[in-house]
Amino acid sequence: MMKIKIILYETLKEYGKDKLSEDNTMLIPEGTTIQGLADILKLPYENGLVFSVNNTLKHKEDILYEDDEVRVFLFIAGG
Amino acid sequence: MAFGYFMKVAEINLSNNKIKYVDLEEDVLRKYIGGSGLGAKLLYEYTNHQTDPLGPENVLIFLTGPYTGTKVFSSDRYEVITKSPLTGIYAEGDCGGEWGEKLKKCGVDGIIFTGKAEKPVRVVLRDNKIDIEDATYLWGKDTVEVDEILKEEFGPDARNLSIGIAGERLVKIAAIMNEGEVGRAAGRAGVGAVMGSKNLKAITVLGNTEVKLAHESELNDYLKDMAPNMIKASKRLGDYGTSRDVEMYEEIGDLPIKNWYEGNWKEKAAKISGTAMANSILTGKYYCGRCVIGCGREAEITEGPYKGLKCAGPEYEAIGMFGANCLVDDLNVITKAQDLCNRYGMDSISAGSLMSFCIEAYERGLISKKETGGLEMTWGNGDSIIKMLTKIAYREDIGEVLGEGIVTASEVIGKNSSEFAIHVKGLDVPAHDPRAKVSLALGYATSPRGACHVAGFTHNLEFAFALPDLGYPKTLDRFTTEGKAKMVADMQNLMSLFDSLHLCKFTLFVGMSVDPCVKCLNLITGWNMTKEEFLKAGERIFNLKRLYDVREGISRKDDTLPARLLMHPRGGGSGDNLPALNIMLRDYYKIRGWDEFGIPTKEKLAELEIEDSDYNDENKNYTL
Repeated sequence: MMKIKIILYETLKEYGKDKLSEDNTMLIPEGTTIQGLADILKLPYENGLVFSVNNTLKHKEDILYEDDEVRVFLFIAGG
Repeated sequence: MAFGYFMKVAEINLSNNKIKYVDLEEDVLRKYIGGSGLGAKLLYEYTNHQTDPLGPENVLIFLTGPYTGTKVFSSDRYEVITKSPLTGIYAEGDCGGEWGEKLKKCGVDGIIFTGKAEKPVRVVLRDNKIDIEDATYLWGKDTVEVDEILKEEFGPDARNLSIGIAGERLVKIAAIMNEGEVGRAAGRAGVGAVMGSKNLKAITVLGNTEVKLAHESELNDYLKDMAPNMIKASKRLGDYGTSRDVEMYEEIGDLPIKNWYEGNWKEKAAKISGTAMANSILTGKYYCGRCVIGCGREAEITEGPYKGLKCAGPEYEAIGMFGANCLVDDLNVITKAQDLCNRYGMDSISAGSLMSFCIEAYERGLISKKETGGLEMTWGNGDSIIKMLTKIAYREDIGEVLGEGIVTASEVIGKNSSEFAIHVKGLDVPAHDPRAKVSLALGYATSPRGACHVAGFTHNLEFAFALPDLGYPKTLDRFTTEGKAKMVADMQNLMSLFDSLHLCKFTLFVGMSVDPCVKCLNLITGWNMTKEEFLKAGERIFNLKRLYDVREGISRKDDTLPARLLMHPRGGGSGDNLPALNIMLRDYYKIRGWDEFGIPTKEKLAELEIEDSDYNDENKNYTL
């Protein structure tokens, strides 16, 4: 297992309840992809999820590593 | 007869006050759908290369679509189609609110205005009845005042559309506005100036006639099932409006900064975001007809020089153009600027673009206080921007030149000002940067009305979104050119259909993708249209608009972007990335079936069943 930090924004915050510790970290299996993390957190929508890892935007198939800081936004098309 | 239509448009000649009805044939509707598609066909037939956009020979067309007046989400919209006085080519504006629904309920699918009234007039449509009346008393009033007066006169259910001071004065970035203080705009390409050129101040619609649908209860059941997910998936758009993602746009390099030159503005962006608005001036939200999202903003300024102003809150485009692109980090100033644009009836994208252009010209010493009427047009100077907007609307000082549009303004100011006049075909670039999402470069270069982000709406497929039923199961990389030509063409075809059905594009990724659109159209009309026929109609519509532009002299030479967007790496979230436009354009022409000059081939037109006698006339050589 490895520890990562996860910051969920706005309406996504509820998906971290009971899963993240007080310092917004959680343990996940090594080799977990971003999509895998989304599945673990049971994030809601196929469309619109944006993942930033260590301040760089990433794809869902990218693999996460120990101590990564993952920020998750829900982007809405338009405007 | 097809269900979902009234099968006719009213043709109103303002020169002689004669009104006639033009019957619509079902096979034409099936090929062009309505709204933008039908409008392109009518405009092609009513105007020609010699048509002066501000002359009585131009036409101003208002059309609804088959979705308008039904319960399809966010469908109570209309389209304005005309020849643009700003660009000289095809112009259209899609607009929400409730005016479109009320127009259709007058028993017509749309109106075509021809000619020019001798003095200011308003037109009032009731159920199967049209009156042309004196509007001298409305001339000089702003769009909010006009709406208030007409509501007083006709009652609160009246839906009114009008031009403001800018349209009256033929300012070439003039918009057409509806719904009064909530400020819905058919904004782009100077459609309001065409209305002004006809001395047409306002149109009131009071209809109550319901259009017959083929399978109404089945349609409503289908929509009811879809609604909960749409409401949930669009919650952030409703909570924070179109400016919900300003900070993210800044982070990825999508937000224009300092007239498209800079790459970073992080802390400032947070001050003008949708979240900042929600925590300060936001008082409510506005829903267009049949909308379940509610992205419209209602605001009240509670401090500073604009204290007490209650108005529509600024949209993302106004925040991008008046805010980051002018280095203004004061949400109150941006709100005031948006309100002035709404009241004067001006396109807030072009107005914002003209501000950043004017500021750069001033800062570089190309113009001085002598030209600006004493205003210090410096970066971040909100007070000067507010005053300059009034000068444009009233054609004062350099405002007169700016009001002619960015191309004319750069020609008059001269020197090297065209280097930082950021437009395509004369239409100012909206607040999404093609260096951050390269499909935008191709979309801007090939959009029928000039730089437009909603003609293709492609940038979403390069960032966080997929559209499986159009053949895009995964989000594309935003920096690479691979696959972009086809994706842009596919999305332009689909968005042409949205503008023809009349459907808000914000519904696309929250439920109304391709298959649901086809299903709703068939339930409304009783047709049995396949997905292939549906998408082919979109391709036909887009090609006809291109054909219109080709007739005006548009070709490969015009399908380009300003050097700043193609050659200047802005840094920040897009780093050194530059869009490889020429490679994408080469591939795009091939996919489109256009020749190397960007002209649709005869084979493509035959495939699309576009019957164009002008184009096929051997004496008229469009193949260069």
